[in-house]
Amino acid sequence: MDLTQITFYAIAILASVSALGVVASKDIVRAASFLIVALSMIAALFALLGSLFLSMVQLMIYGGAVIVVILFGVMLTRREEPKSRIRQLTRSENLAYLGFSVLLVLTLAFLEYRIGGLYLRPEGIPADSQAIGIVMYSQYRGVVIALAGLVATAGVGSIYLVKRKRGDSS
Amino acid sequence: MISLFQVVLFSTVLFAIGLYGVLTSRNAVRMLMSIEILLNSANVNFAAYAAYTGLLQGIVAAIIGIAVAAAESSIGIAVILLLDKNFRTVDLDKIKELKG
Repeated sequence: MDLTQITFYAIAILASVSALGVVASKDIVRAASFLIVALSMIAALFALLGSLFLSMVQLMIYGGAVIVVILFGVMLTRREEPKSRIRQLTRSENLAYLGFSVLLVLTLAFLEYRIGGLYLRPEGIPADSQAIGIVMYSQYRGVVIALAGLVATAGVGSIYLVKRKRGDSS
Repeated sequence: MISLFQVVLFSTVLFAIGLYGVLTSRNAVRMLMSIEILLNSANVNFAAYAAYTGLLQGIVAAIIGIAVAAAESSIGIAVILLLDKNFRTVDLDKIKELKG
């Protein structure tokens, strides 16, 4: 086992435990802290896979902007905590969820058994920001424009939703 | 050397945890956090396949996914604040109607 694999396992375990902490921790602020760790670990994984640019984007947008928005949401809605933090699923729902998860893992294991030995390129992703920009603004120009429209609409829409008075349907 | 299977398995574990969070959260903000974990598992998959094939399209798809997640997060928080204003709670079990 080389250093890359050890680093990958450390990142995977930390990210999975933090994601579990998001779901299972009692305090919502602590859950947000776990979310920061999980997202940062995923940024570290992107860097390990060779894309420093994606890692930087992940840290800036998820580790910065989204976390701040979520913490604002926590602060502005922290009036009353639900008594039980998680909804108890029925036995059949639990079984369905477990079956789904096991099926996913088994499918992956089967694929690994049939077409195993697929290794990532040792040099990682051949990507600098210039190459990514060329691909985005040539092949995916329409998608980028649509995305800009989506983000602008989301920003304006969220402001409109929050500022709307109760009963104001116009 | 990392195999594709390891990264995709990690992504599956993240997806399963996020899905469990979405199914069981009573707090709307926690549900939003779980959705972020779900979207991140998709981005990990994109990055893994980009690292396997050496194509940049996976990275572009991951960047698009991150932007969509940011938009979703802002709309989600706005909806949660609206729910809090109208129903005085963010407990999803107590919110029984969609009328604003």
